[in-house]
This record gives sequence, structure tokens and C-alpha cells, in this order.
Amino acid sequence: MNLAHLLDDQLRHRPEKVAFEGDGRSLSYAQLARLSENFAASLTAAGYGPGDRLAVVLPNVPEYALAMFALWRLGAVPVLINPQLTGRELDYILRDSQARAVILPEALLGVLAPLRSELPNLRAIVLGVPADKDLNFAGLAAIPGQCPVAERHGDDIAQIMYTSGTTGTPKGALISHGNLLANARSGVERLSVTGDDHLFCILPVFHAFAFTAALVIMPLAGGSVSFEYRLSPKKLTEHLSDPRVSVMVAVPSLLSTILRFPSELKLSAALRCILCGGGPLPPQLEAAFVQRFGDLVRQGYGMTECSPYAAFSPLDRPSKPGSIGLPMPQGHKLAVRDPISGNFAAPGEVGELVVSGPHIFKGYLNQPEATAQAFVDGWLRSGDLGYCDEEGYFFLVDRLKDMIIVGGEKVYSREVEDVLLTFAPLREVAVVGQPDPDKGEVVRAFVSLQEGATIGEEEIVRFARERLASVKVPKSVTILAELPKSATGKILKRELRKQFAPK
Amino acid sequence: MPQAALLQEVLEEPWRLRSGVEALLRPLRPSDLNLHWGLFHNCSTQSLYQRFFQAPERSKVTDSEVARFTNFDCSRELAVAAVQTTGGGPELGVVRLVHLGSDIFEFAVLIADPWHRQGLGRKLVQKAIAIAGAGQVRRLEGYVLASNRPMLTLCRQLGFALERLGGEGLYQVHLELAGDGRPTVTGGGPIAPADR
Repeated sequence: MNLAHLLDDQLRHRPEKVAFEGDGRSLSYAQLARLSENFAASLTAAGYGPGDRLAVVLPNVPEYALAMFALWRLGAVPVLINPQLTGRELDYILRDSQARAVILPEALLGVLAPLRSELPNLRAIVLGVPADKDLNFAGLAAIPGQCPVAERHGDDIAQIMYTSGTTGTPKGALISHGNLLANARSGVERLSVTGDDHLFCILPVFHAFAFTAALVIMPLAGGSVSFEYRLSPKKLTEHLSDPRVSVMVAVPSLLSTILRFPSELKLSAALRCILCGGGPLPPQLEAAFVQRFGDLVRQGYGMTECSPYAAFSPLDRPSKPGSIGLPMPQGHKLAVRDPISGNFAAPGEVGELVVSGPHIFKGYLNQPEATAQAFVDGWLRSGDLGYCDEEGYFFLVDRLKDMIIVGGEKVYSREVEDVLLTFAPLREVAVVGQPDPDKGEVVRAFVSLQEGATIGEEEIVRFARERLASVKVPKSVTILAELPKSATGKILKRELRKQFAPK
Repeated sequence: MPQAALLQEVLEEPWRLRSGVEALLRPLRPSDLNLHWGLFHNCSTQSLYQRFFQAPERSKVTDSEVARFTNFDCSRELAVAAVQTTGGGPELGVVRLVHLGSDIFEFAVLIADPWHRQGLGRKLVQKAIAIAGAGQVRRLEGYVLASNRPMLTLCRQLGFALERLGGEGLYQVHLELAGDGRPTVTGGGPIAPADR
């Protein structure tokens, strides 16, 4: 079972059909198969083979698909990395994953440069003009070569996706070929995906939500994908009105953005559903969207660790406001348990959402303790609180984790706090989510200073910007004499939220 | 005055950890500054985070901050330390009770990492309940991170009710007392709704 075989059916039935396009380039299924085999053969010649880990730090471009299918064919393991990470974050992931090569655009060579003296065995495969000793992406794909699809077992790892952790250190989630295939098959059934579907994918593919939709579900069904990485009104308008677009993936903040577009905006007449994940969809927002564009939005729920879809609202009946839908079909289970006693909850009772089935990941790389903590009695813990109604629909209520969702991206308060606490002038730090009309929430930091320290908010933001991806950088910093604490000295963020709530 | 009575009730008590380490449970005093420094030093970042909801770098913890926990206002606060009776007597853990007003006290526990999973946390919370009960305290409450399942489980087993505080991964645990040290309500029911 190797995901590279997904192309076999499409080569037989629709070889000339465009599979992936974006940034002015496109790949038919036949071209994807040919070029990915060339690429895999070139990698073999360059000394890479089954089991090797290669980092992929690309935006949403067709070459993402080419790299994935080449690495799967080779039996190698792609390590997916957000191109917006800072050098510090990238350094950690490259070391932790022991990646032997990194596939990246020329524009990111500057971020990689300071790390290279410490990682002498790491080669760069560059989309664009490579430096000395580096390999050229297009060159590797252009050299004709043969490379049979490596035999892979369902439990063999197909990708490593890094997720932020509550302790501030990212964890590499190990997702197998079997995990992705099971989840994609279940997605094809729930969302009735066919070879006629065309997905518009503007959410980053290094996140599980977009990855499985664009790179597994669509090739499985024989559909096609338009990639975009520029969130400009012009680009967005072009894609949304593209008459081929039948499905798109979104986060709530993207729906808000679309709602602010002028009334002339017409969505593609073929658009049959907008899959919304990445955080709770406010019912008012859903209602406003439905009123203007029709009943297109279906909310879902998932996690990187379950490849990622755990639930989605069915398409054949009206959406239930506020619900994340029904558990995915084909053996995917979703349940509610009391987070402390472990008892399963009755309908309407709030507890922690837990997941099991063929889509559950194989653990975190190098972190057996974190892996053990992720499960309870064989169920994957979500850290989200919710309930199930009498009809089996699930609803989210709150988070057990201290986490902020910025435009669909999860930011753990602790990670930001731990980084800011390494700044010598700061004594105490508390990071909270502040409601934001565009992003849903943004990061806000409250700090107190060491005695005698005199720094301004701008310096603190600059310190954060040098060490954290932009999504995690506080939008605002407030300096206080002391942070509010309980009588025994515990920092109480609820007091900050009360005192500094936006008027 | 319940708080004055509280202090008088804290008698020294010998106690043995599961590993066999002999300890003395006794009130923490201002002269224990160095001992208490040692407790902080023996705590991992994670333990400090679970206690203070913040994990400062150790180099940033100042004398005056540690002194706040040994040199406190005895009319409204007390702390019981578990101190090893041999081997230089490091402080293994501490439970603290602070008067919040009327008959309500907040409690907090910190156990140094080498002495985790030896029954000391349970013993110190039981000690807090006993002290509170003897001091005619009506309610004992505390804040526990949602991720700190061992502490939440312990609190539920000891009869605390658990109330989830919305949006920040936090629970408030509370125990109503009859004034004679016995709980008047029993925890263990479903989680109370979020207080948002």
C-alpha cells in the first residue's frame, strides 16, 4: 500500500486531465506520473532511498504534489514544514526529524543559510536557482529515469507533520500510508467527491486539513486542484468565480473575508460545497454566508493526529448550525468522554472529544511520553470539549488546552510565553487570545518587567518576531507592574481578559 | 478568628513516603528561606508551570520572590512543608493555604520532582483538608490546569467538585466543609458547566 499508486487509476482513465495547477503552471496526471518518477530516479542517483526523511518547505504550488508523489514512490518520508517558520523553528524541526535534504524555493535559502554550518549533511533541493552543491528541483524532475514504486506497508510512515505542543516544543506526528488512504476514502464517501470535482485550495498544504483534501482525496477520486498561496482580493476573486471550482477548503476567517467582498462577487456556479475547519465556525457567520451565497458551508472537525478528518457535516441535508457534523464513515469513530473519570458521556453531556479508527496516527517522532499522553484507553484525546446531540451530531464547546486559533492556525499560549520568558528584561508573561474580526483571534501578551528594566512594547514584539512564526507573534503587548494572580500566586488570565476586554 | 485557630492546629507529623523516605510535616517558617530555595531547585519547569501557571527560568527567580513564600502574613496564610528527616533534610513538597475572606481558603501544592508518585501530594492535600476542617473553614478551593490530570483525579477522589473555567484550560476545584473537617458535598459527578 503506497500512496504513489493513487496515480495508477488516473493514468488509465484520464491521463491528459490537469491534476494540479497554480502559479501559472499545471501538471496533468500523465505529467505528474512521469515527472515524479524522474524525480524519484534522480533522488536515487543522488543517494536517497526508502525511509530517508526529506523536508518539504514549499508554498501551495503544483511542485508540492510532484515532490509528494516522487517521495512516496521512492519510499521516502516527507517532513512537511511551514515556509513562514523562523530559522530557530526550522532548525529544531530539521534536527529532530534528521532530514537529509530540504526541498525549498530559492527565496527561503536566506533562512536556511545560518543553519547550514551546523547541519553539514543537509542538502537543499531548490525550486529556482540553486547555490553551489545544491540540487535543482526542475533539473531532477527533467532527467528521464525509472524508479519502481517502493513497496510500503499500511503502517509505514507517509509523512511527518509538525504540530505545536502545549510544552512549547513542536512534535512530529507520524502519519502512515494506511492512515491517509483510510481517511481519504472516508472523505470521498462523506463529501461525494468524483473525478468531475475541482478543488480550490488556498489553505496551506503543509497543514493536514488542506493536505489530505488536495493531495490524497482529489488524486484518489481523479479530481483536480487549483493551488493558491497569495491571499489578495484579486486572486481570490479570480479563483472563486472560476467556473470549474466545485469544492473549496476554508477556515472561518476566510469566510469573513469573502463576505466583505463587493456584492458583484459571484461564486462559481459549480461550487457545491465549502469545507470549513480549523476552528469553530460562529453560527452568525455561517448564517450571514448562507444568506448571501446559499447553503454551501459544511463544518468539519479534525486534527493532524487523525489524518485529519474526524467529523464532517453531510451534504445531503441542511447544515445544523454550530455543529461539526457526524463522525466520518468507514470505521472512523468519534466519542465524548469525561476527561477525568473516562466515562462515556450521554447525549447532551459535555466531555472531551476522543477519536479512534484506521486514521489514527502512529505517534510522535522521538517522543514516547507525549505519544502515551495523547491516548487514553486506546482513544486519541483531542483536548477539545464538546457534546453529541440525540441525532448523533457533534458540537464543540471549549478547549481543554490553553490555545489560540489565529486564522485557523493553532497557537499554544505556552510556546509564546516560553519564548518571551527567555527575554532577559521580562519577569512574567501571560499570552491570551483577543477576538479579532479578521482572524477570529489574535495573540495578545501581557508582561511585567524585571526590576530596573526599561524596554518598550516594540522591542518585545521585535524579540518575538525574530524567534516565532508570524502567526504566533503578539499583535499587541501590554506592560503591567505585575500580572494578576490568585492568593497562592497562580497567574490568572481570566482577570486579564476581564480587565482588558475590548470595549 | 478561624485563621488564628488554623495555625495552632498545625502539629508536626512524621510520615513515610512510598519509597521509604522518612519525612516530617511541619509549618514552614521565615527561617526556611534556603530550604525553600532547594524545593524550587528540585522542581522541573513542568512542575513549576503546573504550580504557578508560568515557568520562569530559574535564574530569574529572585530571593525576594522565594521569601514571599516563607515570610508571609501568618494571620491569613500558612504553609506545611514535608521535610526529609535524614540526608540534610531537603524540602520534598509544600501545601499552602491562604485566606480569601469570610470562611474561604485557597490551597496550592508543590512537590519536587524526585518525590513525585509517592503519595506525598495526596498526603499534603489531606493535611490541608484536615487543617481547614479543624479551623472551621467552610470552603477550600484551588486552581488546577486541565492538563494536570493526576491532580484533578486526586482532587475528585478526595471529594472536591471540579468546575471548568472556560477558555483557558483551567479548572477550579472546591470542597465544602462542615467545620469539623468532613466534606459536606462529594465531587465525582459530571463536570460543571463552564463559567464564561
